[in-house]
Formats: sequence, structure tokens, C-alpha cells
Amino acid sequence: MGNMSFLTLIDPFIRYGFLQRALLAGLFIAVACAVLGVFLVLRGESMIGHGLAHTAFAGVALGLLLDMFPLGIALAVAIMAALLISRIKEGSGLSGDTGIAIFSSVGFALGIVIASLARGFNVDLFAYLFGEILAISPLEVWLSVSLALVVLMTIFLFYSRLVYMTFDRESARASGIRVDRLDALLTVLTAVTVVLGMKVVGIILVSALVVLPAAAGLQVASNFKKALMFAVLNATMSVGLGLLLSYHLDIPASGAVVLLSFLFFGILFVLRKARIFRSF
Amino acid sequence: MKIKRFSYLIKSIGMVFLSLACVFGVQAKLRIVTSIFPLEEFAAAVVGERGDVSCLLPPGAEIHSWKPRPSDIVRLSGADLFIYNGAGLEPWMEDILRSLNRPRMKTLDAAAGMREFHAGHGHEGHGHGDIDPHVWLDFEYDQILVDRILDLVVELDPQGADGYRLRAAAYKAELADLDEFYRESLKSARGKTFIFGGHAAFGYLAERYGLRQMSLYGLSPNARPKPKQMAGITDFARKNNVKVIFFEQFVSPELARVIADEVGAEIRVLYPGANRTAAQVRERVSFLQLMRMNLENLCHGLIRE
Repeated sequence: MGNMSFLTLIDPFIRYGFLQRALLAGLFIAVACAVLGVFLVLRGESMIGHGLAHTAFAGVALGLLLDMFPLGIALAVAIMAALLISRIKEGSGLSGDTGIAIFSSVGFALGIVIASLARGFNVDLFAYLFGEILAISPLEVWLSVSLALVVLMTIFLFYSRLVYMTFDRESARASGIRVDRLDALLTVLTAVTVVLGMKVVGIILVSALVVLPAAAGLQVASNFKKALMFAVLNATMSVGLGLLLSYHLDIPASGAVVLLSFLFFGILFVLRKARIFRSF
Repeated sequence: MKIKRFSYLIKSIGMVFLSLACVFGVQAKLRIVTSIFPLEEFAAAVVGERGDVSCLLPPGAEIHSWKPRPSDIVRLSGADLFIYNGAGLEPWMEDILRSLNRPRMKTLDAAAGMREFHAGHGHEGHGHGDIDPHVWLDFEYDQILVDRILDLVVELDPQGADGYRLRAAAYKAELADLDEFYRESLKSARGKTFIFGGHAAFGYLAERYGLRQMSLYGLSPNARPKPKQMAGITDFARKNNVKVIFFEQFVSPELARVIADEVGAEIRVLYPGANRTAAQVRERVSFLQLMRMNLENLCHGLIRE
């Protein structure tokens, strides 16, 4: 009986290609977001996903205006913004999130102006603002899978340097690690992840996929690797269950995914406060 | 507030020119502004060379998500007659008419008579609640609209009445032909259902010719379709071995294509007709032509359940 109802739950994800694509792309993006998120949250850059997504909005609007692959242009714009944000952070003496704040609003403003120039595609723009899991193309699935693999490989290759830099930036610099290059690498990877995540949960909510699972993982894990694992677990469960709920309850996927992720975060937070388990 | 003051300025300038024109005996052309393209075509068909007819909606814009800009308000403030669709298609309209504050400008609410028309044809009225605003997609109702435009135009410019009447009659005959052509073509069609990956614009048309519209979006394309709805339509398409999924001009064909790929169908366009693309404007594609193209496409994709 339990088996039966489980089958009816997942049945639509077997029958419809568009749901399979949403699930596949969503899960891989979730992994990339969660892994990057742990580094970003520890670095005090929780808002960078938010900032880059808003900047990417300008790229989406431009892509729709020129009738070219909007995701591609968004990707280019977000990567440029990512590099500029790390440049501002290094060079201007302004604190870490100032560059993010500047670029997120400028990007969004640009997007609004470009959208008003074209006047015809507001409906399509909404799909990017709030996510559109029904229209994820096979190409986007492949991009998401390869992106997640690239993120995991990069983290694997630079793992010790990234961890060193995250916990003690100055010593890492003194020991000869090119922290500015690693910064740029991390930010660019975040930009790419966020842009691909846009289609699943939308520009407005994609940063939640970066921050919430990471924050949840950091609540309970006793070491860095476990934090990464918990974050990935939270993110993939939120996306998987969120899409299921979205389908069966007829609620927006983006909202379901983010609320579930927050629920997991809340449970872990309470458990930790109650000292039910201090650390795993 | 600002718009209001601005419109006063424009109006006073307009008054100066108008009085100058009277003094020098210039015959001012009738200025008619419409909100959407079909109403522009109907009005232009009636007034011919004796009037200037223009449409607020710029080429390529989707009416449900369009708002007028300051230059449009200026254009409206010089109009003798403003023809709008009504029934909620132009949510910005009331505010703008109020801020223009031109009680003597004639206005025509195209959808206003639809409920009575509909009830008079033996259809159970939708009773209270909102009516479907896509009234221009009923070609018999369009003939009534042409008559109502004619009445107002004759009132504004009685000297041209004879010409207006002749032209209105000619255009109404074309609408009647179109109606007859639809009826004939669709009578012999074996299928009656079509899957439309756009918003439910073709309700009146479907009802008139006994078709069934299965649309992905509701009455406005601004509300996103739900996954279950996509799944339901995909199931239906699969079961009935559907070969054509229609998409809507001015709404992204993405979702129509997703369904088409899922069931191995092709996609074809349907024109809701409220607007044209810039290219269609250049090629002077008429409303009647758009509707004939719709019929041709429809005939390729009707599904027998």
C-alpha cells in the first residue's frame, strides 16, 4: 500500500519528459549550489548569489530583446559582474557586500529598462523571475549536469587551498596562495550556477538554494566535509520533494523548494539549540 | 497629478491650433485613437481618407502586459473618438481617461454590448462576473461594432455620412464573408478540438463554429500554467495522437513546443489578432487576412476525439 502511493507520487516524473528534465536539472544545480554555498556563507558572502542573479536579469532581458539564447547572454553578463564584484572588493576599500549591492540593483535597473524597450516579452520575463520548471530544455539539463561536475571537480582540485583561504585569508595569502584568483574562480562558478538555477526556481529565489542548505549544514556538522555533505543532502531533498509537492499540490515549484529547505534548516537549528545532537 | 497638469498644457496648445484652423478654414480630419489593432482596422474601414485612425498598442506588444507611455496620453488628448475594447483588457484605461478629463471626447467600449449579444443568441449568459474580453474574435459581433463606430462617426462629422455608410457596408460584407468562410470550412472538418499553447483567446470563435479550445493559459497569458495542466493536456494529446499544437503570436512558443516534443507533434501559430508584428505592419497584413491564416492553420490541427 505504501509502495503503491509512493508510485503514484512519482508517477508523473516517470511519464512526462518535462518533469524529468526539471528534476534532473534541479538536482544537479542543487548540488552545485550547496557546495559553493558552504564556502560563500563561511566567507560572509551569503548575498552574492542574490546579487549575481539580479545582474543576470539584465542579461535575460537583453537576450529576449535580441531574440537570442537568453540564458547564454545572462551567463556572460553574470560572469562579468562576478569578476567586477571581486575587483571592487579587492581594489576599492569598500566592504565585502558593497559591490554586490551595487551590481544587483544596477543589473536589475538595466533589465527593467531593456524590458521596456521591447515591450512584448513581459510574460517570458516572468518565467525567469519566478522560475519555469515546465520549459527546461534538454540542452539546459546537459548544461546543469556538466556545471555540477565542473564545480565538484574544481572544489576537489583546490579543496585545501579553498578551505585555508576561507578560514584564514591573510595566512593563506602569506603562504603564497593567489587568493584573488581563487576568489574570482569561486565567484564565477557561483555566477554560472545561479544563472542555470534561475530557470528552476527563478531569479528572485535562486540565492536561497545557495544559502539555506549551506546554513543548515553548518548548523550541525562537526567538520567541513560533513557540512558539505549535509548541505548537499538538504539541497537535493528540497529540490526533489519540492518538485513533487509543486506538482501534486499545484503550488509554484520555486516557493515549495525554498520553503522545504528552510524547514530542514529550522529543524536542524532547533535540534542544535536543544542539544539533541551537538555535532555529527 | 503630473500627467493631469501635462494634459492641460497639451490641451491648451491644441485649442490654440484648433481655433487657428477654424479661422483659416482648414478642414480638420477626424482623429480616432483605438487601443488595439482590430478596432483600428474597423474604424479605418469606416472613415477612409476623411479621418486619421491610429492604434495605441505599438507593433509587437502583447496587450495584456502593455501600458501606455506619456506620448500615448498626448495622442489621446487630441482625439475626437477613442475606441477601446473594455472588459478589463485595458486596466490602465479608466485612470487615464480620468486624468485626461475630456468629457467631450467620444468613447466607445467595444465589449459593452457583448453580454446582450451573447444572451440574444441563445447562449446561457455568464450571468454576473467578468466577460471574456476577446470580443473581436466573433465576426458577427464585429459587424455590430462597425455599425456602432459608424453611428459615432456620423454624429461627429455629418457631412461625410454618405461615404461612411457606404464604406461601413462594404467592410461589413467582408466580415460576413469571413464568417461564412469559417462556417463552411469548419462544417466539413472531422475534428472539433484544438490544443492551444497560448491563452484562452478563442472562446467566442470556438463557440461560434462548434469548436473546443483546449488552452494552456487562462483568459490572460500573465498567469503561468500549472504542471498538472501541462500533464493533462499532454495526456490528451498523446491519447488522441495529436499532430499539431498551436502556439500564440506574442506569447513564447516554449511550452507549446514542450508538449509537441513530448507527443511528437509540430507547432503552428494562431493569431489572436489584437496586434501585429512590426513586419506585419510593414506588409500591411489586415485583420481579415490574419483570421484567414488562422482558419488555414486550424484546419490542419483539429482533433477528432
